[in-house]
Amino acid sequence: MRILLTTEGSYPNYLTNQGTWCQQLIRGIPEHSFLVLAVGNAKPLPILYERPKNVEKLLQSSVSEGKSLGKSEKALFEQSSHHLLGFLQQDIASFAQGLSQLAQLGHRYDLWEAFENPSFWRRLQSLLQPHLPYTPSLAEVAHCAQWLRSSLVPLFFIPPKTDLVHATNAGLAGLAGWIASSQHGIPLILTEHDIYLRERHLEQFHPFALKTLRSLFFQSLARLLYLQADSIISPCLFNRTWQRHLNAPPERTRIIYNGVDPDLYQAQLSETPTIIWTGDIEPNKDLSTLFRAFWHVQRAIPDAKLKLFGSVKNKSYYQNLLALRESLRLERTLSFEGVFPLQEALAKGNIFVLSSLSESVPYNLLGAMASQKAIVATRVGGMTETIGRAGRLVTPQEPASLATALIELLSYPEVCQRLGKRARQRVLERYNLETMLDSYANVYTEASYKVHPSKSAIFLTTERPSEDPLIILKDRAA
Amino acid sequence: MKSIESLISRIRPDITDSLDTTTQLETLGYNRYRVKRDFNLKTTFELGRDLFRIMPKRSFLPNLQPSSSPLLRQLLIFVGLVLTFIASPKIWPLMVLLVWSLISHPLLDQARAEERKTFARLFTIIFISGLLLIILSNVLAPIDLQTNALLLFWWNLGLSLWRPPKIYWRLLLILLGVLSLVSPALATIGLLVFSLHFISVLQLPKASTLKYLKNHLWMLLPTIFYALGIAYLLGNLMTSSKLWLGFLVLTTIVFLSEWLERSMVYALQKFLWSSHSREDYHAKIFSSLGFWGQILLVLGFVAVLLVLKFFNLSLHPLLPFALLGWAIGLGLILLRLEQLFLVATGFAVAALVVFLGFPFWLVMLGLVLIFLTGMMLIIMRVEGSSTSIF
Repeated sequence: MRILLTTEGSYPNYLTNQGTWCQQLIRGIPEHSFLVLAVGNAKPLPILYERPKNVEKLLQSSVSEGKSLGKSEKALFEQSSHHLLGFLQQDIASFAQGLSQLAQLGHRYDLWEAFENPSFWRRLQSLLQPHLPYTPSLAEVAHCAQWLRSSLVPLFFIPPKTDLVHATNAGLAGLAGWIASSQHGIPLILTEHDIYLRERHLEQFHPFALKTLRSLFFQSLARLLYLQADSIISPCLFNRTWQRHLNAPPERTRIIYNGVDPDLYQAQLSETPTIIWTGDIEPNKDLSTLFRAFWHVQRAIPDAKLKLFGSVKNKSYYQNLLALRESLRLERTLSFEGVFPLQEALAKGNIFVLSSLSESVPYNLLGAMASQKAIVATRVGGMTETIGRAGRLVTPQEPASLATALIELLSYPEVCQRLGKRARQRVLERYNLETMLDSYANVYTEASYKVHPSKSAIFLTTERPSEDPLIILKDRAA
Repeated sequence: MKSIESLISRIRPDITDSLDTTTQLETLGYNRYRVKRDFNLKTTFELGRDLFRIMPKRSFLPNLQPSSSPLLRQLLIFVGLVLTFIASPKIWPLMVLLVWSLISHPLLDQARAEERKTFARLFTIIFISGLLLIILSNVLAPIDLQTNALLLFWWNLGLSLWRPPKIYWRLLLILLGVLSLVSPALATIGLLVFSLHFISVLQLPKASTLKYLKNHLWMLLPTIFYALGIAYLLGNLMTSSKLWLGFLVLTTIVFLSEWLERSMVYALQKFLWSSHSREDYHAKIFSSLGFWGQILLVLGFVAVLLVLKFFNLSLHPLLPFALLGWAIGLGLILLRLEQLFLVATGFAVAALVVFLGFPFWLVMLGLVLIFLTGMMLIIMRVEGSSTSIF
């Protein structure tokens, strides 16, 4: 089977959790060949993963130079953009119709200037206004129009036909997957490692009107994808709760836990009482709470150490952390170790800590569990169900409770050992790579048997959409 | 009630909707068990929905700042110009270097915005190509030592503008420039040694750098026309008239235009943030003193010219300099508004028309009027101009 895997900000150009998962999936199912479409990159980026043999092609969505719009195409753009803005009224059918029509136009014509159409701006402003406590200024409308035209780029790239498409998020990768599925009439599988909409809420974004617009856009996109996908997969219950809240049909949602190869991880303990943290250094990891907690730990256990492994994703945040470390006088015991392979980093400590504000099922956590580390983590996202009784869960953003858990584990090595064994057992039972790969292989097989009469090419075969996406959506919803 | 108030105070104030509120609650550790225990609600979504209803909502406007001051750069260029006029070197090699500088500027600007490594490799190409141009100029025709020293001075100056502003390097460069008036041979050696400090920035270009250049050819082509046009017009004026005061007027107008562009963009940003309709935005522009000042100043010049022509009086020798200064200044404003095609076409056609023998001042007058009209039309079309203003 040929599978189109759509990604965004991960495989094959960024080293991320999702990237690791993609590599595992492609390598682990060698009987299928994959075309990988990376969206959202403004320019070609280096490939950071060793290319498995069954990767047929690596594609990046890009806009080729199209023709300028003529009079009739301008009228069609006006109509399409009118439908597109349906997302501001939570009209999913209209939104889908707008996306389809714009894709039809955008892969042949250059739409860049069309987004500067005054009537488009006026409509955008009037539909945005009810969602804001004030009338949006022209500057805000300009930001929104510019954002929309940049974000719709994946829509204008029509990938080659495959047997099915697997989107790795309900954002821009999902949009690219949806358009491939609609155009070629092939099944759509959606895996959401993180809830894309939630992740957008966690970002600092300006101006306020654009933040609102993005939230509404991705909310509608998620609803559309949930309605259209043949299978909606999450790595944890937490994500499925969000999906169902956004009207994902329960019979199409399922959980497939992420998995690691337990043989790759060995139990190694450090002689000094050392706490380790791994991940990207960015605000959502809430390292300032961890630093404050460690200050309490230091006072209770003076020879305790905290080692941080990972790359700096946000420089100003890193600078603030350095200043905080200095003000807490922790320079001698708290160290930034840089980037290390996970197994090597895990070998340097006894306790693994995560102080994040939001997480799904991170691979570093699974690796730590497989290595029999005692886990202390915040009670957010999918971490509660992943760790269960195999670690200590604390309230996020509360240094005192994080410190209490760390001091307890550092003081009682036998508790650490017991929790570590429990954690590895949990990985063996639930978060096993083999189980994960078997489950995805089954999903692909099931999807391939499905008939998709309603997904016959919506456009491209004719000048105008042969079937109204509104009818398709209503059929699917029924 | 107190717990709700304290909860609201812990949630970010720029919440957009109930789902955003739910997300923020989850980062504070709220899940369905805690929500049930603390608020007797079934899910975090319900708490998010209820809190969003009662949370205060307000607008968030950015803190606008004008772009960084061009004063230091302008001072450096001004000193260079003064040195050049005192030395009165050969004009055409200087114009070749001007073309090099005008072409490399947007390329490096683009590369810097994209990737650090690409910038460093491209900088190497710019560095070598500038030096090669100086060597080539010497091969094509013998050039005196003083002109060579000045060429090296401008080459170093062009490259220095891309380095972080370290005042001692710039002072040293000025001193070497002054030395070129006294002892060109010593200054030449000094300037070559000075250029060695760029080595720390240089990186060996790769095939990808050439590919990058190839991909940006579309951007390069109009820039080449723009650079050739300006160099020809400036060279033409410099060879026909060595009026000191004229160059002073030209440089002053160009520099003033840079300041005008800076304040204009800042003002337009403020207008865009405070306007809710096109009419509102246009009204703000028309009531802006800076806008009218620019128009009246240029139109005033045009009126003086026409009056002089009408009474058949001879043109003041400073006017061609002033008009070229205005054209370059308006060109810079248009470039900031991303109108490279208009500016490049304008200068290339103007150069061609002057080459064909049309009066310099008349061609420049036409160019100024075209640029002014273009600028007004672009500013008034809010949907198009806003892209370049932000």
